Amino acid sequence: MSDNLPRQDLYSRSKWLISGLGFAPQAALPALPEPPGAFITAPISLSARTPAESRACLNYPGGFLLHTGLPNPGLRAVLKHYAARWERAELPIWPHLIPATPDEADRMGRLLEGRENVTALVISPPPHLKDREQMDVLAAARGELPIIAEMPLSGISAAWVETLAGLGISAVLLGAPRGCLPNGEGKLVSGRLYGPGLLPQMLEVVRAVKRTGLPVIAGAGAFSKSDGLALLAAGAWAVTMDAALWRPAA
Amino acid sequence: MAEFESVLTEVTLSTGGMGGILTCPTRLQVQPGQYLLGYAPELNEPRTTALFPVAIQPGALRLAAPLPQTWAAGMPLLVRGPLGRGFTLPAQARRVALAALNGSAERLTPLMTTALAQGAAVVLFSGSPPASVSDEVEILPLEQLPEAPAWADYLALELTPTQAGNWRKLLAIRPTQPCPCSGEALIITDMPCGGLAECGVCAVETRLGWRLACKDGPVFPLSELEAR
Repeated sequence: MSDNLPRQDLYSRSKWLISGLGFAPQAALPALPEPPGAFITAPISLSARTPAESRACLNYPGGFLLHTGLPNPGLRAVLKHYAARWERAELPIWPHLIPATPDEADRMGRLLEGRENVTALVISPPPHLKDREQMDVLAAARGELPIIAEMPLSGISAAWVETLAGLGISAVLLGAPRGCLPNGEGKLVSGRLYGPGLLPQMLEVVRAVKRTGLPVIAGAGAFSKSDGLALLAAGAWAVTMDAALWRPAA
Repeated sequence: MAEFESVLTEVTLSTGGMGGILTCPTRLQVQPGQYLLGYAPELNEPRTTALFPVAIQPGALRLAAPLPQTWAAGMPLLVRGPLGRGFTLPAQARRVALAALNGSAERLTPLMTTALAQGAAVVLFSGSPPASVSDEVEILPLEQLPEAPAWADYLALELTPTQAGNWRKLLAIRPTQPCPCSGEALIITDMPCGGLAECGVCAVETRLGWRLACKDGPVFPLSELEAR
């Protein structure tokens, strides 16, 4: 792994991005404060992943915890079912990849290079790996497409982001943090946290990470236009609305 | 996908918790077993709640309990739906058995109404039947549920995802034995995205692979549900 590699510029026509809406855009895009700049897919692994045994959606004041196991049909099946829709989409597609190893990251990156309308890759390194191993996964995905490193809000530091910049990573996406809640049987369930209650934490991290000079995308905590504008004012390069888009907006 | 503005005009209390009555477009049609997603914007709730109708009248939906305890009469709601796949009651069904293993069977009430309307005899197996059940419905305790397949020509169950894989055991039908009647199950689970995200929290294991209750269900044929 060589350091201080040049960074590919990331382009978006809008500061507002779509994520949390499956593997391909629907015919009718959700109403955002301005037309979205890109569609970030649901997380995709190289091979199919089945749902977690102890799936749960648990409410807490200010948000909810979601534990799913990130089930998905695997990258080849996703391409088979959705590549045509990606090509026809009105906005660029940024596949969100969850490789387990550097080799998987390399293979997934190669499968996506040259795909029509795929203009960047979002890579989530496995959260259980050490920092250096996570860097190896990100480095392995490098190719022709800009790489966006996705990290949970709860597991990121400015020092880690500074290292990313040296790897040629184009941006960092601050994703849903992890947490635990007791389920109905009193057992602790671990999962990703969503909700407007994350906004203060996200603002703080955006402010800290932007000092590194790497573009930062706020990927959690924005549940209204004013939330998104506050994140952009704090220095976010772009904002995703994520689970807020699951709510009716009539 | 239809979305509409609504008002929770009334809240009601039942054995299952708080239900309510919601305004809706006069032409709204919801098949038994289908659901809607509701959200109270003035509370800035992080997520939606799945709403199952008990009865539909022009311009009003009576909703099954439980609704969020933070909702109150007069509260504006945003609603999306109807969503998902509902029950498919065969037109020739004349002996219909229903069972709710985890609640008062309010969510099965529209199916009872449809079955009675086509002249079927209806039996409800329930430990706590809803107060609104028609006098024409015979109510039996859940312990007698294993008798249902031999009597009924159509069977509808309300199950959790965990119970879905054990429906044969609940009905005392051996794994190698075919179910003597047609049947379907309404899977009760969280469906926060309503199929938009394919998030997978409502995944149900079927003979055809994993399916999502929010999109492919929440009603599934019993023959598709994997007996583990």
